[in-house]
Amino acid sequence: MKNKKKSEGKIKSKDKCGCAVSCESEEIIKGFSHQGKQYVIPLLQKVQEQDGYISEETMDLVSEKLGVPVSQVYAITTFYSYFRLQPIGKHLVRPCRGTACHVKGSKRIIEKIKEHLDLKGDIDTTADNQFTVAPVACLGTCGLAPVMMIGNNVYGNLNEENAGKIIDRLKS
Amino acid sequence: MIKKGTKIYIGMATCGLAAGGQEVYDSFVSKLGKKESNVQLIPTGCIGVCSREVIVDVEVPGMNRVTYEKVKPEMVEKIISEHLEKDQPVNEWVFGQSGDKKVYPGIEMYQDLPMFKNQVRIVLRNCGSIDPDKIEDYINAGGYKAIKKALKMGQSAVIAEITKAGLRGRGGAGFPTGKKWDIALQQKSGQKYFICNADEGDPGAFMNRSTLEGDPHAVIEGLIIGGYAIGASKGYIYCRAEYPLAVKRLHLALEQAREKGFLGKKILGSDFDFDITVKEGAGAFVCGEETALIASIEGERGMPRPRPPYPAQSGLWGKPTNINNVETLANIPYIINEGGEKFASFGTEKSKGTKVFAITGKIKNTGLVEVPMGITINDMIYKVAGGMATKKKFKAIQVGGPSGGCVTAALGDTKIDYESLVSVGAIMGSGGAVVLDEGNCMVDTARFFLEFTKSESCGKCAPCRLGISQMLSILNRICEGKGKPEDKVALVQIAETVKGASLCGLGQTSPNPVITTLRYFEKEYDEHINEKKCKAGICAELLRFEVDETICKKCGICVKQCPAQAIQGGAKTLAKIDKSKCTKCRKCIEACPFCAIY
Repeated sequence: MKNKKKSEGKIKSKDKCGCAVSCESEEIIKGFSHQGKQYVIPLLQKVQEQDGYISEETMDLVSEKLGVPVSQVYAITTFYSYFRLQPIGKHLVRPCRGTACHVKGSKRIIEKIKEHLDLKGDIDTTADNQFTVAPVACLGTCGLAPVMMIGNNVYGNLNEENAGKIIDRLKS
Repeated sequence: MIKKGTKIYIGMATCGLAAGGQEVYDSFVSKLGKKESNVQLIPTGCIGVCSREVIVDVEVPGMNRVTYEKVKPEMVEKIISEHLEKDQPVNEWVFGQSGDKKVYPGIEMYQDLPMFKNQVRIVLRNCGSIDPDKIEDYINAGGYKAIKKALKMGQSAVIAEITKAGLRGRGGAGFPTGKKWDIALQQKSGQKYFICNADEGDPGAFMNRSTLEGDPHAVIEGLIIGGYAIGASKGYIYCRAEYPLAVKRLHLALEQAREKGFLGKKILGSDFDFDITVKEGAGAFVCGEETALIASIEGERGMPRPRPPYPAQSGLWGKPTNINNVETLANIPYIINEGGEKFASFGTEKSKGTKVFAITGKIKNTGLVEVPMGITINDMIYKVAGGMATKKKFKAIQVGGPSGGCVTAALGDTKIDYESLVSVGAIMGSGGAVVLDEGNCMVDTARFFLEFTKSESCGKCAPCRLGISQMLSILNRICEGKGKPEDKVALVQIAETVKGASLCGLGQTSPNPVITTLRYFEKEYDEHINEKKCKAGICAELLRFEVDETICKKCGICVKQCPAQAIQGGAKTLAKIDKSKCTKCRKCIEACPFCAIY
């Protein structure tokens, strides 16, 4: 929940003061007390928790702070699927693509969710910036399959009908 | 009157929360109001019956602990007024009672319930019965005794005990843990590391998540003992970032362990210094492979490297490093406390102890079970997991995730131990077991796993990077009805190459789903390729919405299910679908118990 609230404010704060990355993230990076390659992943995780994605400017700042070439920061960011290179909508919807969900029809549920939000092809974020749909390999909540995660909340026993309704409840 | 000291345990691990655990907890708080002072509300981990969450246990002092299933906020009031105030459990919502003897008539004892009768809980001993956020609960349950004992025993004696227990790596490969520790102990180095692998990436597996969420201290204690045994001073827990609750509980548990002096300098007055850091993964399945995991902690791209040198010789930052899985470590305190012999009394000759399985799919009791090694597949499905949840027949069980294989129902008598599973083409893996019924297509299942391994292949070695892509494109073709007769041969050839030539476990085992489905379900491949049929009704491009008249039993179920009234037939007549009315909603395919519609 905490996570969600934070990301709600992020785009605004960035616009307001015109920082290259959000002010909060810049503070996180500047206030980071370690140096060296082993801290690239933890620091990027902190920034993404704040901003929802990793921007080019973030990579520059992280590189400078930790003393690691930006090419290597980029290499790490692109290797791990956890890091996103594009901004996300207000709500990050993560339908599970695990085995238990698959055998209970998750593929069609994801199609329904995308259809419901009018997301076509590779587009994953709605035009009004409310929702980003990014399937995840497995949420480990297989007992309630099919499941999805929105923010830090997990919703279980999904079907083609209720998935859309859950999303509608979050619409503002 | 509510008796003082009444305890209410609420299942609030990820599954419990997803089912509404927080709302139930809040409801208890508000409904109890002033009466709350007599009651202790305890959030707890998962007892393993995820399908029945939210689970609430009520324990009136001096009475048995009673477990309620599928609790909703609106049920709370009655539980309070009947059970808490009058000591009369609401039998219709109750799942079982636990205690020394039957106290409440009409409620089954836990140990008599088929699903628990066949389990042996060593790793999950505390899950669902203690508050994972309180170190005192763990200590009261006998926790942190093993580390005291281990420090007195000495390093070699600890390792000897683990060797005597016959414990093998629960991450999947089954390497003897005692031997692994001994090799690490023999290394002469001023700095050694001990890593706990909690990067549970297998889709369809959540044993480690539940253990970490339900009993984090058991894993931490195992890790401290391991660190002591090999002479390490620094430990890491590499945990998936997709498990935020597990990470949170680990951080809290570590802090508490430090306060109590189980971590830090001169632990419990000995000369042993040890501390643990949690490292969050970043969503790369390959990081479950030990050399890739090490690279990831060092801050590199998580790519594996050839072995030798093994991590025991040159691991994290070139220092001797030992890596064990969460479940392996959770077994350690038990072995030290109870002795290796006791542990070895469970299981088979070569596979000792128990194994936790995340059993999911088309069965009644989806969730977490801990069974003694050597139990048969059929017993696990029908006795422990309550049998099939659908009207369709049990077709196959997928064991071991993307590295494992699909074992056909005909081999249901196969024992679950390391060697027996390998002999039927699967692997123990970390413990994911997904049960499939006749409504699941095996070609599609193989395709599903390859989609996963393709996206998770790190790309370093060609056999894995290219081979998986090639196999996947063939499977896609077959599922789309464009399969060619020579495709089966090509699949086998590529599978053998990828298996033999890949650098790490991810690549070497990735063809297993293809090999096993081809071995046990070749007919299904033939139907897809030659007849362009998917009898399970899964492959979208092959769906015809026709009734196979040789299979139709004229039961009429599909007729009732069809929202468009497009099916005619029923009692005594074969079902027939009117294609002009059919909306292709698939309800009939899902409903047919005999898979006659495809």
